[in-house]
Amino acid sequence: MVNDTSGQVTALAQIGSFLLAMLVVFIVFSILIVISGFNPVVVYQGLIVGALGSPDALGQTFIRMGPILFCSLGLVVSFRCGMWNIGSEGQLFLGALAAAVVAIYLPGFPKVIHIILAMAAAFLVGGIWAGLCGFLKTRFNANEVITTLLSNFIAIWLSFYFLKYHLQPKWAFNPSSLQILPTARLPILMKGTLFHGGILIAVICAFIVWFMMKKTSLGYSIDAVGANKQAAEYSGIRVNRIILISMFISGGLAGLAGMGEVLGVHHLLIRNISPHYGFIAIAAVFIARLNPIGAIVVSFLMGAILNGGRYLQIIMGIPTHLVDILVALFVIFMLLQPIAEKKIKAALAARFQKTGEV
Amino acid sequence: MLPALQAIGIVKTYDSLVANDRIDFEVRKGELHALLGENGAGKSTLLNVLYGVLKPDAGTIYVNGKKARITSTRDAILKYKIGKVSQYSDLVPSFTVGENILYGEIPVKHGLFIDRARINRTVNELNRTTGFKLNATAIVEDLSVGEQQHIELTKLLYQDAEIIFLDEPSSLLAPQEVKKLFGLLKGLIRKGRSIIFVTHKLEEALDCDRITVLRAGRVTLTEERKEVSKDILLKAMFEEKIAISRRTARPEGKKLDSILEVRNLITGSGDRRGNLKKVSFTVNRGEIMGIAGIAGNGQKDILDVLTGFLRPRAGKILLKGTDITASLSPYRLRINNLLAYIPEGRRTIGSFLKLPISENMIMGVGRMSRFYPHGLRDATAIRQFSLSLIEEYGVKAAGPNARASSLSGGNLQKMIVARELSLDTDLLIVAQPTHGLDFKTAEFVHTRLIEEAEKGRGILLISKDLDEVMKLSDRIAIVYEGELRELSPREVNLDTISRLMVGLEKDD
Repeated sequence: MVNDTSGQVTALAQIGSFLLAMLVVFIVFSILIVISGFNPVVVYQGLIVGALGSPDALGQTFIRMGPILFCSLGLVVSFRCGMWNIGSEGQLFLGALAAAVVAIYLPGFPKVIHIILAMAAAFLVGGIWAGLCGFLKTRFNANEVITTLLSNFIAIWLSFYFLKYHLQPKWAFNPSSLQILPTARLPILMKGTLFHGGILIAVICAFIVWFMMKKTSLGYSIDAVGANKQAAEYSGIRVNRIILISMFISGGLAGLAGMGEVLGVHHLLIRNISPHYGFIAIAAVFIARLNPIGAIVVSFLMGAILNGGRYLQIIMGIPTHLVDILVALFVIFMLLQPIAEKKIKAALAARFQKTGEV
Repeated sequence: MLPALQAIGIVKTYDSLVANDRIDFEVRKGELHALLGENGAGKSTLLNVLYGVLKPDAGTIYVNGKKARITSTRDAILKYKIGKVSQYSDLVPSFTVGENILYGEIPVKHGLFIDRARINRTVNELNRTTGFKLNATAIVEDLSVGEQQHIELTKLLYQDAEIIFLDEPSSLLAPQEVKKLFGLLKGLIRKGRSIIFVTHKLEEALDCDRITVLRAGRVTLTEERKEVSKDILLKAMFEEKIAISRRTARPEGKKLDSILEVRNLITGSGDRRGNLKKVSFTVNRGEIMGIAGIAGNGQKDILDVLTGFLRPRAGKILLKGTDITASLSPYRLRINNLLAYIPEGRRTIGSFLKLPISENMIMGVGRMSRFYPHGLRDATAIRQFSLSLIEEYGVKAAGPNARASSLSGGNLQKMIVARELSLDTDLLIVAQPTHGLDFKTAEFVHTRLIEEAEKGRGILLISKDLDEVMKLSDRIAIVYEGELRELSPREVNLDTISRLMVGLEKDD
């Protein structure tokens, strides 16, 4: 009897607690908007119109979703391995650099091949960069939170160095590279918007990561190492190898985020290629509870909030900091959601049992 | 005179394990009282009940003749003046001796600065009462374990403790330090303190005024020191009549086929009690080789070496005649299906608590090719395999998708036993297989182990439960301070075993 209802109880509790969290975010944010001297109705309206109100707005939301999704997927792989990779941002920058080099300086390839080459370069460079931190962990037991966090600074400045002294043409004022070759451009998938092929690739990657984690022995090993390193070793899993592989994949996926920005959005390498997508992804992936399919939804939501915030600022003159607060509230209450879920579940289970006995 | 501390009818159970079974215990004022028993006899449980860490299921405690309700360690020290020196230091390593002793009540001058002079004065005054020679300004982490114990004791006296528990205080001390400790303790009891000395070592108990012996959660003896001898204590500590095992009585002269040979194994630098000093033994096909001994005498190193977690300093390990010393690693042992291992830490290394039972059932990389052909998950096979093991071993679980953490201790152990026994290996290593299990489950595990041996596997059993070793093993060895001593069939009797376990040679 308990078995039959336990699945329903879990689902109900999940949905209930999610709605509760959203409601709390809505209320708290409304209060903060009023305190800041704005009208909540106007702000919410602006957010929605800015994020979803027109094909163009929707396209803008999607191009923000893309890099967040790529980075989130990378984090799914490393976090589930128990490796707290905080270095997505840096891995993204180096991926962007690698993709730009291939896309600008490697002529003579047909379109699809050129894009694949740029993707491979971005994945490889991002992966090796993250893999280095993995190596420091397996070889010297260096805390990966520290090494990956600090590796961000090195990566970002390294990519700026290459941009400034090697990629930037002499005649250019601002630090930016040449345009990439037309063969390397990711196609626009929705006419009149910025919705480019990279986002589709990110969604495909989400399914690939889902398949890898759920259906392959590598996924099993990664989950095993993440669940209990000692037990994994006891069962004969080569823990260090799995850590290196998961970090490589994690960094590679973050590198693809950089690739998407260069090949799909800017079509050249610029200095600030990412407004902290790599860090936003950390929040996103926790909200998605390390589930790659959930990451698609959460990344879209995050993209929408960021894009809606931009609209508020530009069109309505409402400071974008307000939106930063919304993101923060969103993260905080989503992370608190499991607590509510547990309580709701307990309450429901008690009720089910009672009715069962009667 | 009223006893300083008196406990009547203490009962404490975990699931179906009775850790304390109607225990009566009493400490007089100004007495050094030994609480003696082997591992798992219930000493720690009783101590934790009396110290306010555990709530007993039944029983009454009196302090100085008044009924006491000790609900926390804070209660114990503040209300009832009961203090404890734990096995491992509770001191702040980077603080000075004085700061640790006066912890929480550091004197301050001018409302801002620490009054070092007063700290030093207080410590010196305390030194006069205790006879210790503590330097108030020394940093704790620079001091020896023995001195750290002195600090803990002093701290308790500063807190005005009248009843003091020492939990296995000698486990980390050198022999001369133990001697010194006893001298100091005797000084304290002359000043009217009551001290309970928890130990599993006979000689130490014999240095106390009175002795209470626990066995399997019950008091088997409470007597004045002058009234007892080593033999009486040994008898009280271990079961008086251990049934001669069906297995040890098996006919001899069968041709032996060795599966595991360990030769002259040495680990570490030999300075730890648990380091191995030239250990050799053999496990033959179709037999259970039992290693008994009090925990911490080298069992861990034997297990860690054989399972590939620890590189030995010297020695050879032969598996079915092949030297595998150089290639011992969990991965190699598992991928080639050379080893099945039921570990002691069922939650720490034996299972993935956060993952579903099914993922726990397929642990062991040697099985990956079966459940992940070409690297792809065969969900049906995994499910069927898990279900069949759950059914065969009677694991009480909601289903293969339930998390391992939802299982009770006994069912978790059944899961691990099921998983490891289902591996097709010649060698099976088993550590504390029934620790903390209820009688029925323990009996089930025992039966399964005997069946496996009869099927022709070689089993190495390492357990601190002497009854278990005697019941299951074909041959028995005792490990004491890193040395292994195998018993001849004639020596398999309680007297010899219990003497060897506490480090007494046979005719000592």
